[in-house]
Amino acid sequence: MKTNTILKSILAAGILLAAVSCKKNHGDVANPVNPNETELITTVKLIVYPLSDPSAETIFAFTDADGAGGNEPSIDTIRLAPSTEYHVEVLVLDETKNPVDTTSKEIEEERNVHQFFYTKIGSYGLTTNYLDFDDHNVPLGLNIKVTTGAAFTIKTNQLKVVLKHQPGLKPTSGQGDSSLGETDIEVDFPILVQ
Amino acid sequence: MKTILLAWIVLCISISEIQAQSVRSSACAYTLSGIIQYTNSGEPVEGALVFIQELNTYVLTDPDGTFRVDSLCAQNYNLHIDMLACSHKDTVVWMQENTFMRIGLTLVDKDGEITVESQHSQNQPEISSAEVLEKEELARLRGSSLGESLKYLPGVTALQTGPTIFKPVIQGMYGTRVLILNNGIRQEGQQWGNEHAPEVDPFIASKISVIKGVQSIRYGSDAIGGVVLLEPEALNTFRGTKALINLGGFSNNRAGVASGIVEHGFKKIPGLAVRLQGTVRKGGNTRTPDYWLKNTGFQEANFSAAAAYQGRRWGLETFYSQFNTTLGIFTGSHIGNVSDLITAINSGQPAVTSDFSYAIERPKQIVNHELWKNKVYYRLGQQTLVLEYARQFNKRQEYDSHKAYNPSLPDEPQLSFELTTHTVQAYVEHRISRRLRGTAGVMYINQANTYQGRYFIPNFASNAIGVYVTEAYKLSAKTKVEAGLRYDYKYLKSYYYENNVLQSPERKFQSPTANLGLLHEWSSHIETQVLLGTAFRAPNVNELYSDGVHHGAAAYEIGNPDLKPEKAVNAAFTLNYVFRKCFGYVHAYGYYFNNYIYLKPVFPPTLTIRGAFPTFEYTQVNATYGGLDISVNDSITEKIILSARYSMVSAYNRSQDEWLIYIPPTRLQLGMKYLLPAVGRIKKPYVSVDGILTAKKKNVPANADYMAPPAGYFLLQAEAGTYITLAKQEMLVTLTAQNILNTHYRDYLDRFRYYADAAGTNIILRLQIPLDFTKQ
Repeated sequence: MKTNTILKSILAAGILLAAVSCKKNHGDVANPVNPNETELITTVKLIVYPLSDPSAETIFAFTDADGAGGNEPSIDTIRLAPSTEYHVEVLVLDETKNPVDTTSKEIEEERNVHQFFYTKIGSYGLTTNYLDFDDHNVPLGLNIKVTTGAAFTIKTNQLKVVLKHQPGLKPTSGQGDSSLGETDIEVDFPILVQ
Repeated sequence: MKTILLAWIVLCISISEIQAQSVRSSACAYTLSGIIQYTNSGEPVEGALVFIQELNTYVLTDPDGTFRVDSLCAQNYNLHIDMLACSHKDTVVWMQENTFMRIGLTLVDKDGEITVESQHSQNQPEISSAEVLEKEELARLRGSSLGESLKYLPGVTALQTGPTIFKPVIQGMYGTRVLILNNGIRQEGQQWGNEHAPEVDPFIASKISVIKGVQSIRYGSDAIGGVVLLEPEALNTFRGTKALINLGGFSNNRAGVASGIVEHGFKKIPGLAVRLQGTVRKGGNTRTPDYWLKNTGFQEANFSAAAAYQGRRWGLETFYSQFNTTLGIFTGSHIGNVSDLITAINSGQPAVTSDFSYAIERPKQIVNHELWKNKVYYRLGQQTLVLEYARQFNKRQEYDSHKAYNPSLPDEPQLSFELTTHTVQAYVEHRISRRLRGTAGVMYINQANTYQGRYFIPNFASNAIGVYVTEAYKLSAKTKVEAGLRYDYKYLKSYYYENNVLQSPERKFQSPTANLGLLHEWSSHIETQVLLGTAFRAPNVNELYSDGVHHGAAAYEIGNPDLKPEKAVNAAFTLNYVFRKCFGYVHAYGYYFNNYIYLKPVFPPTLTIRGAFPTFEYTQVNATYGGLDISVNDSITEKIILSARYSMVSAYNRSQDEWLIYIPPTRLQLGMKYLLPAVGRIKKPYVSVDGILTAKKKNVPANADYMAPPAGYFLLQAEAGTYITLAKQEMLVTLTAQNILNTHYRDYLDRFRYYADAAGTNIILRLQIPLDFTKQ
């Protein structure tokens, strides 16, 4: 290799270096990001009304206003009447934003990769039926029908509400598979049927 | 991996070229003279052969070790130095004046290896227990990440996050307790996460050493477990153009790697040399014996450029490197909460299956690292003054499997960190007498860290300064003592929000550390060394202020802002032996920690909208580590070399009377290497077989892990390799088969052991092609 060529290649390398070198921090050390500015899910609201009387609406909420950690979340007890059919709509919110961000709208849009699952903790009479489905007719679960059984007084019964994110995993037939994917929401509501 | 070298064998040959006389004379009238000495005793070597390639002639050294060659022209001369029972050594000398050379040779056993170590500015301990990878040993590991390359050294393992992320573990310690020195500069990245691999391109280095035990004095008070040194080959030792090409192909994940180095030593400006280096790596999904691991591909592109000038008394170096990688995180390992983790563990096999693919989707990491280093040194008599400045920029972006719900938000990482580090160091290497020499220095580090996205560790600014002195004294020809003292001061100010209120706590840490080493040569066969050292490690920001769910680990981690510095005392004993046909060592060590920082499970679990997370809080306990590394090599015939490596370590929490978690299991590696005869252009061919037995980890804390340690396992691996001479260049070709039996196994230190098996059979073809245009 001639010295000239070498010098030129060094020069070229130098220019390349100057072009790519010395990246800097984007943020300002003394002004950190307030975690509330990032996307959070703070609230799961169950909007419940008996099929026989849509005007008798009640709301049960699981709220963790400051996100994970910090203050303990507040959890409402679901109170339902025995042997009644209810319509339940799930509202997922980020209440740290102004206006409040309704995440459930985006879940609805991404219905082909999300599914809600409802399970009972404890043994009591209650059945759930999906009322909404994705493009492959697999349940989504933002809207369900809940049918209560006999009244009970046990205070330890709970209803578990789980939202799974299943990109590339959600089945395209059947009733879905709760074992797949990543859990986006998992909340246990104490429940009383009286 | 088989002929792992002892630290003192590595010092087998050292060469220092000292240009003493400088009488200008006309062409072809220069004189080359020199002296050859045994490095360990300093005695002259009589009868060594110095062959001058260009003249096709040789001279033998006199009884006082000197030699002299007259009538040399102003050109390069290739010298080949041979001495019975010593390793062969090649060097190039550029004649432009009468030149005097000092060459050191040491007796080695037949299969020993040689290295060249330039005398100036190494700033490394004289007494230490080190493992060194270079030349063939290193060539045979090329193409893997740093942590993976080192994991078969005795006493070194890797903390793994699947098949692509390896974090070196030395004597059972990792993360901020292990230092990586890239080209003499402390590598500063986001070491705090177990899934954060060192941001280094191992192809930069021609030599990788692992120094075990506390190495506080030179490298920083926090070098508790040990230090990994990556050293490039010295520039300005030749004139002309040289290149080295490394190629590798990996069958398991269909990965390919190509790396090249071109360097040029200027003939018209002697002492000036430049180097350009670049590496590209790309791999797809890894295959376990039964299934593919979805989204485990990676792509990496790195480059570096260096220039160095060496004058008679002073020298100047500049080095710039960039490391850029994108790593897929196995889809089945990304979990939302602990129920997902339990589901994954109970299913035994990942629910997510896939075929082979190079595609990298969420979850993934994108990591960049930039280093710019400058060094000046000046020799004044027996002193060398060195001044270094380096700037590092580290950027780490972590993408969760879920992109933002709000479709108007860009496709951004959920967690992003940027860390800028300035390092300034100055030190004097001095020789006070023939018996006493050492180093005194000062190091200053300034760091600024910022984050975007979800909170995990705060923004912080820190300033740290350390001053040190270390001296080695030769008590006699066979006994040497080395002692050092250091004082560190660190100031840390962090910034984060708590309940919408900006917090900016300050912490200050300071402490002295000291070490003492004693080396004694009992005979030409046996040498022992004893090392005592103290260390102090200021708590890391994540240990102080982390607060959040650790990405993928299904754990809620809480920092403790009141943590005190961790303090350790380390004692190590090493016995090295070399007999005619065998060599090896025994290395035993212990650590006694006060205020050892670790993650302690706390109750109740943290309840979040994503479910309950087991919660861990940084706590301080008193802890003890103890371990043993043994290496044995025996040439039972001239053709067959047997080797055995054994390492074990245990760590105990004295405060809670239980074992510590994530300590490497005991490992035994047995190998046999068969040297084949050279045929024509085929030189030094060999075949080897290794069996690696990893025991089931015993001594684990009760109820602190989601899953019991996996069963022990046995891996079989084989290799064939040879040098091939083509067009005067010596190419090295190796073919390696790892996990030949396609064994199903899970490793205790692999975080993916909860989700999936480790990789199955992998066949690797490596090619190293040197292109040395300085050869005639």
